[in-house]
Amino acid sequence: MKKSLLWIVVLILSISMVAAFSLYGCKAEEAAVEEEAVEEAPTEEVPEVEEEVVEEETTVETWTPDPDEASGVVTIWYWDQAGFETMWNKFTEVYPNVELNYVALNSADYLDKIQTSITGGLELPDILLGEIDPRGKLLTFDIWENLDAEPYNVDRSKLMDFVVPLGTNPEGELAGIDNLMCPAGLAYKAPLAKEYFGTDDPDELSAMLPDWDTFIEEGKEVKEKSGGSVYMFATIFDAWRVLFGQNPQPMFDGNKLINIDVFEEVFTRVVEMMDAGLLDALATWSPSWFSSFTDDNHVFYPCSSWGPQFVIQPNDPDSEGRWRVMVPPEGGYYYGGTIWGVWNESKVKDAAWAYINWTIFGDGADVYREELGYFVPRKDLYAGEFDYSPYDDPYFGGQNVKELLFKTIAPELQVRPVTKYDESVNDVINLVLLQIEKEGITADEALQNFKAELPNMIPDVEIVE
Amino acid sequence: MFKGVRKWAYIFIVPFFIGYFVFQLFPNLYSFYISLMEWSGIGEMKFIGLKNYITLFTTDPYFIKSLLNTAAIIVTSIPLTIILGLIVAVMLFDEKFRGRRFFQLSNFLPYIVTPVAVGLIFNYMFDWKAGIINKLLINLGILKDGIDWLGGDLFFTRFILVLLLVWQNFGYFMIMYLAGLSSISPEIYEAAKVDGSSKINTFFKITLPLLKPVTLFVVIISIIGGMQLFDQPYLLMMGTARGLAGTAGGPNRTLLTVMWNFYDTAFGPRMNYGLGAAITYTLFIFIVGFSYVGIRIFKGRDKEL
Repeated sequence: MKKSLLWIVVLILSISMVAAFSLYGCKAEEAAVEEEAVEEAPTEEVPEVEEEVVEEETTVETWTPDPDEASGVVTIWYWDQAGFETMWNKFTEVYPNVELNYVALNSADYLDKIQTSITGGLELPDILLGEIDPRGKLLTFDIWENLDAEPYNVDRSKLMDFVVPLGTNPEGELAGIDNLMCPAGLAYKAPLAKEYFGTDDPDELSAMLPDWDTFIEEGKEVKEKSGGSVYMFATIFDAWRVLFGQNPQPMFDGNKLINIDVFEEVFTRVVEMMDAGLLDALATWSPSWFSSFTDDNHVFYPCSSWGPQFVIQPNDPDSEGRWRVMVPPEGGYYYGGTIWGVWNESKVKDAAWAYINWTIFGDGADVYREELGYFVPRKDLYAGEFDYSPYDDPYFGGQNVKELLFKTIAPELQVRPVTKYDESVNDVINLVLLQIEKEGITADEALQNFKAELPNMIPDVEIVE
Repeated sequence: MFKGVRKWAYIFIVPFFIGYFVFQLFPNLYSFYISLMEWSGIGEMKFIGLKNYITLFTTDPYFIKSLLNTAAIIVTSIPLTIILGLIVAVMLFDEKFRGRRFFQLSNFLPYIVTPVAVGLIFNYMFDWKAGIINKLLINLGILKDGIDWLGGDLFFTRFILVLLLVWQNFGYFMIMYLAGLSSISPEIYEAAKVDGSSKINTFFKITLPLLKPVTLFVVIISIIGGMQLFDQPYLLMMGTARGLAGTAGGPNRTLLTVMWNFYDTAFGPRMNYGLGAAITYTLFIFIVGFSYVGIRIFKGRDKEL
């Protein structure tokens, strides 16, 4: 009897606790909504302030820290130690008092590490980085120095126009700058192009494939001639990368997904390619995808400015003269890149900025180009008659890939601004593309699945039809 | 004198309790606190009561899916692992079995390989295009085209994961059962033999009931381990899930386990610490519940015996 009385008391207490938490939670939520509503009103004034700031700053020189004064230990978390140390060694010849604390980190773990460090109240690296996929989210964190403001005074007009929205935070401030322009084309295997299109010349091939309709028609012929063994792309993701990248329209306005027709258009294209048998079903970045670089079954691959040295040559090292890069049907696109900025609580801001400034606005830009083949996004470097002749590449049959990417493709480029939802959208796109590939769903089903799945990843999303 | 002894006892156990409070109890309580908040890990927390828990069971489609996936994996892999571990243990317990030491070691080795490595090994083995399994089946003429093992087909994908888990864990179960078998008195078997009991009858009527404590132990730790399954499915699906940025759970989220869902919710694109903490707390309640039910079932049967 006593035992059952005890159980009843425990039960009543538990229910009251649960109810109290729920009710209090609802109240707190309502109160917060009201507070938000009150706070929202004045934010519309912000753009005017931004414009004024930019106009004023164009007359001020970008800050170059004094080599004698800049000192301290600069921490960076990075994934390309060899490349970074090459640059750093040259940098310390100019800034001898600056030391390096290099922490090796996988690029895929960067956002997690930053996030958990902020949560744990730990120190962040003095130089902050942001790869393209997590960048939108990273830029929402209040950890970046405003490079528009004092003392940095970065002159945006000196930068290639397309990199500015890629390093701008939601408040409109320039938080980071790409250290490498990433215009992208289509890499292809010259012997396969010669065999199936009659030419391996990039210009001729671009002229032969001016749009995606022609590309698909030609692809069907390739399929037929090869008895079904040769694919235009190794994976649906490669096709998506190019097609989606060619659409620079912004994805979001606040929490509203705008331009849903872009998704519809690209889903339609990839389904068309899939149905025509132009896309193999390898997984991007998987062992089978890497090994496909050496085979004779896949013709085209997305190729950004970092592609030749980090993707193509390492996976097909003994094939000098076998590869070329062309302008894709309907033009180039932007693919990848990393922004560099300064942590706003760093104790060595001058030293951290000294490195970024040196690599982008100083002599480091030349070192970048000569040592690593990186072209920094500065207008003045490539204005006029920039001499691309030293970059003729025997691996690409003597083709000047740099000239194609930076002189032909880059000036025409428009890029999609990054948003905090980019990773979530990629997750859902990934899921839907796999459904197209594995289950053969239609473009309409793909779009419906995308619209149905997106709110699961972004609960407050509003899809504007 | 006695007081002195007790004082030293307390002093010696203090480091354990400090470690327990700092690294287990406090994080556990703090996680519960976070589960009542709306928090992305950055910025201000907002108290929302039990909303995260309500979301899990009402509007969040991934939690229920991950729970069902995890349950399906546990329900298929645990019995298979137990049966295989028990059979191999009984076979190797026979002293006439030649090479028993070698087989004991070779069967136990997969258990000490890190789950990350196991996931990657299986990922490479069952890769649709470059995997050795498909190449072998095609070269033997069994298949014309390779099977897309990890491509999102519910049966194949789960089959591979269950195969991985059974292969990895049955060696450990075998060792547990070998220990259990050695604790059974040979006199019982002799008596059974004298009474004319067949080997199969002896196994079911004597060996199996006497191994019940071991079975209880492996079932409980398997349920706890199964509920926390993350590394193996995550690594197994790496190749197929990394088209763009990676899809949690792989194609069609077929291997989205509760822990993977937690990881993706808290540290992935959603970055929702509050909901993530609610997932772990709900998982904790499930683990306690299942373990309790498991213990009750076995203890109940013991009483009947």
